[in-house]
Amino acid sequence: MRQATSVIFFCLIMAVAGLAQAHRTSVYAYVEGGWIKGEGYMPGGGKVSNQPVQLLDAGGKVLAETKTAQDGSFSLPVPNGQPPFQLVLNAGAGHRATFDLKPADFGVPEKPAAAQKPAPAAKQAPMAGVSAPELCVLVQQAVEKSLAPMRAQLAEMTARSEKASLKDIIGGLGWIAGLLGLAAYLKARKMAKGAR
Amino acid sequence: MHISEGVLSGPVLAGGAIISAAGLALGLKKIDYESLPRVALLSAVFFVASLIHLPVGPSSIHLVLNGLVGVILGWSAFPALFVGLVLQAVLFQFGGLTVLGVNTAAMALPAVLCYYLFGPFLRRSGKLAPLLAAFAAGFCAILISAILTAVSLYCSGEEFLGAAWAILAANLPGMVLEGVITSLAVVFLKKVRPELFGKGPTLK
Repeated sequence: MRQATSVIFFCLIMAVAGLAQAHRTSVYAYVEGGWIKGEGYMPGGGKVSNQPVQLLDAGGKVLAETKTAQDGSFSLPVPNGQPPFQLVLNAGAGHRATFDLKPADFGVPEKPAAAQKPAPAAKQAPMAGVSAPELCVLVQQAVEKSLAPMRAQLAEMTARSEKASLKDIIGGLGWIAGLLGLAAYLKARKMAKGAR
Repeated sequence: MHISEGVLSGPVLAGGAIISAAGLALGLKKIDYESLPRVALLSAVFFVASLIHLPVGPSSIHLVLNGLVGVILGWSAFPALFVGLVLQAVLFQFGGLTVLGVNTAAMALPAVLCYYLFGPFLRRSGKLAPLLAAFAAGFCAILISAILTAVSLYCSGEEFLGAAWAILAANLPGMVLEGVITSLAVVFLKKVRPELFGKGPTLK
């Protein structure tokens, strides 16, 4: 049993040392100014560079293709089709990640019927020298600009939250201990039955 | 080496599942009351080892230790690695539930092979033979796993040589590292727990 304790102790020390990271590929993207911008990364560090990214429509048809840059980032022009789209990052050697872009990500409400009614106020737009559509574009640009840092922060937080946490590791070890107990119980019952 | 979901084709997934089910059945049969804690322990070692990442070049590699698990457990490596892989899939989205069969087979088959290939030398009394055999077990387990991974990708339509070279190149440092760690672990375990290697195939 001393051996068991020391192995478990060793496992925990290694886990606590902060070396624990999930080894998988992730991809994250957002829409900005007519472009889909995103990043491929390994949670907890590492960028996915020079790997193909595909944009698929709901039917699985490839709409656009590109490759990630050295820092894992990529951008694609927003295609003509109807969202939702799916981004597929193929990092090779069996590693693959997907990210869904919903209609809301493109500024299109989930129910298009609501959007078709033009807002009456927009027609009048009494700004001096600026027409309503122009104003729309300006507002959109301003909002996007101020959202950019938040988006970067969100991407970073997502990346960090996908890291294997100590809680999960200890939970997993607990599961193994539980399964051991269950198997030992079943075997013991069998042996007791055989002895009778 | 954990293949993600959505990469492999249906027949490959089914094939992996069948191989793993057979290996699991055989492995579970071999477990007796005595060896049960050993299986659980090595399952835990595998579960945690895969989370240890070492940066190598542009990417990072992680330990697998299926060679070590194999030479100690033999066929019982199947249940030990399977449990570890299930937990990794559920907790960390490593691989995935649909690819469990393929991933289990790709890691446990080499483990069993190492048991029969290198086990006899490991159980010798000298110093050098067990050390070299343990290194070879750690090295070859990853090598064969890499080849099996490449084969399953090839069967799903990926170009074989491209996939194989990419996987082999990415795992080469891992093979050496696993060899070193496996030999260190075996030498240590033989000293403190020789009974771990007591049973199993021996050279006549």
